[in-house]
Amino acid sequence: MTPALSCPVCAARGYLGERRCPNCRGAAFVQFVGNTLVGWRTPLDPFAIALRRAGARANRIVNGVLIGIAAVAVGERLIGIFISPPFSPSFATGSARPSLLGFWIGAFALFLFIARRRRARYATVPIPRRGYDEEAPAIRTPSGWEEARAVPAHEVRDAAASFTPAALRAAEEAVALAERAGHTHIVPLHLFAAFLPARETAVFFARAGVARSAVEERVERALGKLPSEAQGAAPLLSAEAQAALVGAYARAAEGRAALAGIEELIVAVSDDPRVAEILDDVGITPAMVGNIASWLTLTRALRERIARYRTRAAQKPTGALDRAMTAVATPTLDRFGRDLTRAARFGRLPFMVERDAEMRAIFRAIEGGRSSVILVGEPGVGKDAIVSGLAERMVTEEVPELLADKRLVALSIPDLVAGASPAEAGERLLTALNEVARARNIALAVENIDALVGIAEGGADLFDIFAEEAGRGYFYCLATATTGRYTEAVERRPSSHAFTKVEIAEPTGDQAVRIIMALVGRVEAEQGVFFAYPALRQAVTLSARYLPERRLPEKAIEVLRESAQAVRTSRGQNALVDGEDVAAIVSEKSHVPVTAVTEEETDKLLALEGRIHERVIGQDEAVAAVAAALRRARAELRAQNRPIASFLFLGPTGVGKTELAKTVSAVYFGAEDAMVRLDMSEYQEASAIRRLIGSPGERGGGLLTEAVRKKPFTLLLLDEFEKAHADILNVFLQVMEDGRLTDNEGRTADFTNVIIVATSNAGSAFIQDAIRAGRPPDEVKNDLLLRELKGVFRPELLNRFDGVIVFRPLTADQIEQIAWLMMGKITDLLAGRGITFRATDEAVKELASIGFDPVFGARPMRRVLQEKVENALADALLRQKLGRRDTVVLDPGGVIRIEKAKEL
Amino acid sequence: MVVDLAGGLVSAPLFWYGRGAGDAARYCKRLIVAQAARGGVGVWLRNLFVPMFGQRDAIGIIISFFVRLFQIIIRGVALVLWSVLVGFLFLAYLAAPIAIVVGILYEIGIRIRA
Repeated sequence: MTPALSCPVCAARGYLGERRCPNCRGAAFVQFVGNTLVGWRTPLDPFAIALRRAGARANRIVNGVLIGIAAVAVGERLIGIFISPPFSPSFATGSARPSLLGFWIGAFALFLFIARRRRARYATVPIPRRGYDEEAPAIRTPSGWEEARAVPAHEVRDAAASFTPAALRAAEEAVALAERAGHTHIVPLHLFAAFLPARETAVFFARAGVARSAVEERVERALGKLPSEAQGAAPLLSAEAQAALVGAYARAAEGRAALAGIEELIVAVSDDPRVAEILDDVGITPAMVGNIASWLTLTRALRERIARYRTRAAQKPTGALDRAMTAVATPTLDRFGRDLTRAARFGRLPFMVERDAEMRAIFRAIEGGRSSVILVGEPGVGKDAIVSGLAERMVTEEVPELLADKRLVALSIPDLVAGASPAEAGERLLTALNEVARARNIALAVENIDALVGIAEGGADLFDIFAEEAGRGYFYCLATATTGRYTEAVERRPSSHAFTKVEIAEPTGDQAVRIIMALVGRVEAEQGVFFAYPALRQAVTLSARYLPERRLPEKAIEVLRESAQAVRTSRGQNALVDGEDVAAIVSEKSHVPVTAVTEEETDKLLALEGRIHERVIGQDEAVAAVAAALRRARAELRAQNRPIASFLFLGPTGVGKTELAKTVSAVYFGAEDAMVRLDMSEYQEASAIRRLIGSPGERGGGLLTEAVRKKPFTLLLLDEFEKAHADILNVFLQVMEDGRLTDNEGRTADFTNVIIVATSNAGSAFIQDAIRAGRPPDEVKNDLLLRELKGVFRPELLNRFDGVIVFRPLTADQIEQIAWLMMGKITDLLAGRGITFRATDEAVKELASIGFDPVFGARPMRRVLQEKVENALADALLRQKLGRRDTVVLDPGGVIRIEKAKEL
Repeated sequence: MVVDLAGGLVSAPLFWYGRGAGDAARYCKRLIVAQAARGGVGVWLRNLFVPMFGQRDAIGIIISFFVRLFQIIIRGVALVLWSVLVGFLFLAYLAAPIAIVVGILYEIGIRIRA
């Protein structure tokens, strides 16, 4: 916060006794807001406040009396007219007309009342509104009182005069608070405590999703901790409080508000360490304070803007004609187009916010002599919103002179070409353009102009025809195209030079949040619920991260709309949608757990090893490493610009490398097959890279990039990693480092939500020998990395993995456990047919001993099971020896014993 | 309170004919300007020789000229009438306090005479 220049002579009171301070000329403390010097001329000492309040009370009473007199007089007159004539004595006696004295006195009272009320409005001075193309005013502390006094006294603005009554009352209340508590200075905490009960503050905390009572408790405690010394002496405004008061004015000026209200004060005091600490404690960060306050002021500004818009829009002609009626009827255009200015005139288009820069670029192009502009951006970034914004500005005539008194007509290409041969479509287009030329009051908007490309009429492409006409400059045109289609279809055509390209970038972060702030009002009205600020923030952050297929702000709005529906269904009308509700919807759409970690889930995460071990036998080191990585990811304690984790699983075949990867996929991503699996032995040639990321010049990205773009939250399993070509390994080097990969079309696939697992049995002979020789695992791993793998993987690649994990050969004991697991699977299979399956200990032991192979790990086990158990079961099932409710028992020697169920 | 009310008696007329009158005048001006924009007399005047509806043939131009002339006259008269009406409104504002005072005095006068 920029400090204010405080008057040392009067201790920032503005007065020395009864006299105005000669040094500051009553301004007390000052700051430059733009070129305006803003001070504080409304004394904040208890006596002055009491006087002001008494005055206000007296004023209210006087006004009440006056309006009372006026009402009585009018009432008496009315009764006099309607009731009294037949019965009144004056009528009966036939004397002169009744006296009008009462009426005139009433009129006089009314006159006084109106004069007083109108005069009272001059007590508040609105902050001069800056234009929509003016920069925000710079806020600066004057170098000294010499500089401040160089500004004529009558030009120094009183910040207090531009405060809303509620805000001024809060400032006064802060003084009373400090005085009651015997504090020597009024600090921002007093101001904060003073406006806590205000309605605006309630709205603020509701938008923040925080209970006000929680804040109140903390404020009370913090106030109690302030040193209280002075008794009797009036408290002084501390430097911080001074800065906060003029700061509130500055913020209002910056936000184009007419008056500084509680919202501005909240932001101004939130810089104070004590206040910031309290807010932080209830979960409101400094960035949130600014954004929520912006939201509140934006809502207020939108209301004002709508009101202003209505008055100005009333002066725009509604019909097809301009004001001077020089225009010509345009029947063809009317058939294939929609009059956007007319729609905007009747308030059917959404208001545009935060797009001043783009709008300026369009106007610059038009004023620079170009008549056609093409807006290029991804779908959903708001190209159409900008077109609507132009229509809206054309209604209020806040446009360059060249566009004044014109209407904006959107030419619909689908309508134009529907049911017509290319030749007919071309004719329609030329007829419409001819009408535009003759009408002279039309600017064209063409959505997705790229759709014209490829519609050829006798060799001439419709796009070329349109561009040719646009190039002649007899009409203004605002076209749009998506980035992909622009690059593909439009850019390479020579005729595209007729258009000036204005790129519309996807709004990010705060800009996106502010755009959404302006749009959610509609969703709130439709659904009858309210959004807390964290909901908007989450909608932007989470949709940006987990819904990569679409663009902001569209996707965030979509998520908010769905969240609102869900909340209304579950909690009813007027419920508050908070960040968690939005997270739940994003989780649902993306199948990514993004909601806050619940207690139940905490237990699950802490017991992750156990859950993995339900499927993977042994390999404790590997399981522990993977579980730890998953916990880090879920607690958001990881680098956001790299994959969640990347592992290299080394070890002989059949020891559980792939099984562990599948288990992680099932546990963390919800399904075993929620993974992208690439067999790297298929990528032994350098040219195979084209299959991974797509060939240049072709459409449709590569296998890997497309898979990850479609499912950004996934496990990427790279089997037999060592077999891939060195160039392809380099690609993964980059993926692990940057978390992104660019495909042939220039689109990036985001790998920051991917777990990469590469498996390899390079060096497995060495592992087996070393473990059998009884060498400690760490030593084995070191030797492996330093020597055995040297020729296989480059050291920088090995270094890039978060963990290189050596899987140990399985022991006979572990094989037996695996045998039990596999038995379990058969049991599940048969249970589905209503058959109970059981294996005796001896039988399993026997199977394990047959299936054990130190070289192939658990792999032979599956074969043994097939031969000894599944074949016999299949046989029995086909011969219909097995029925529902029967029990099958596996005995040693692969003997299947069937225990028939009792007959019912 | 008495001070407040007594002060009001003095300051109210001062305000009424000072700043208040300025406000009222500005308001009346806005009313007239808005009507001028709605009627668009200026635009019609500027386009006096521009044919209407793109009819660029000789007859079209002649007809346009006279229609425009007629329109300008009609719209001009409407604007003048509106301005006069607004002017009366402003005069009424100025006259209101005087009328009230005169009214009170008159009533008192009647009573005295009666």
